[in-house]
Amino acid sequence: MRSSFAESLRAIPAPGARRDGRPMIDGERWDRLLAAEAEMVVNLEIMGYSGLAQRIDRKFSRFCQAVTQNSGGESSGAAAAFEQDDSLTELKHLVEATGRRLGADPEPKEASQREVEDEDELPPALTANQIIVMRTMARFDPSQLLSAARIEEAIDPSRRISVRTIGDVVRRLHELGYAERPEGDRRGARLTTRGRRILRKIAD
Amino acid sequence: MPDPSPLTRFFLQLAERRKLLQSQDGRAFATGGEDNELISAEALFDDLRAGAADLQVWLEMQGRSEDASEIDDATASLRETIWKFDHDELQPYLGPDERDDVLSETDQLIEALDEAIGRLEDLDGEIPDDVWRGYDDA
Repeated sequence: MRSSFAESLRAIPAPGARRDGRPMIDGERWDRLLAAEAEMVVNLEIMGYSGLAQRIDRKFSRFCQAVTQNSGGESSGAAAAFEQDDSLTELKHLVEATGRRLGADPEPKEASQREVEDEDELPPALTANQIIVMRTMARFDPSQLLSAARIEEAIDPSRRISVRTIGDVVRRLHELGYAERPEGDRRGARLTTRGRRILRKIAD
Repeated sequence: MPDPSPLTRFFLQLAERRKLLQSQDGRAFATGGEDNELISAEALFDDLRAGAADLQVWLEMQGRSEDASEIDDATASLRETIWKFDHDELQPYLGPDERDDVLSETDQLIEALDEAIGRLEDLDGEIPDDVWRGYDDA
């Protein structure tokens, strides 16, 4: 699953598929692209990933400048063509990588949850089963919603946990804010960004 | 011996491509696939661009913007050389020393690879191992 911004970028023709050295981006598509980029950057800033937000924004600015330079209707020089191609490719890869790490459309949490999420927060006293389930869920792409059965299949055979117990664990993780069911109670769960962060703090 | 860091794995992949280019002396771009289709330098390195982006994102998430920038800078010259290679913008030229051989387009690509690998290797030595904890979990 890709973010709105990633989808907008993918709609831009690949380098080499242009006419007259200009990408075929009409006004409406440009508006969508600008809006999607702004949304992603703002959300990343709110989530505390200011460096990442600025990196994406700089890459996007570079791409916009390159398109402007190449949009004069004349054939572009090699340097200008490289700038446009390279900035677009880099931007696509960066946004795709962000989507893989933070979810397709990274969104800031509610203010009350952010207050609790202090960088100095001690790792919680999780049970062994909770840790096993969290580690198993962390192996999946953040965009995938997992059923208890799916988690059970993926757990190391040496650490078997029943589907029923997994369901109880996921419910508890949901209460703690470490898992979420973005499409309702019957559509599977995934770890939240907070859950993944807490997992990293837990010593092996 | 500790497992290689993701950055180590990345520049080792670059080193593998370098070996491939050197061993085939440019023929890597003349053959590919079942029908010996011409493949581009961009195609040869596209997966590594995704890898470089992932490393940058991870380092930004760990609050190490400067290290992320170094990865970007280290690969910038390589990306430009790759582009020029595919767009016939590279020309063979004589090295600065009168004893140097002519540097072919493939030589220039290898030179750019060497520069990138060297910088990434230096960077790897400066990043503590715990920065990479959890990188391969997701």
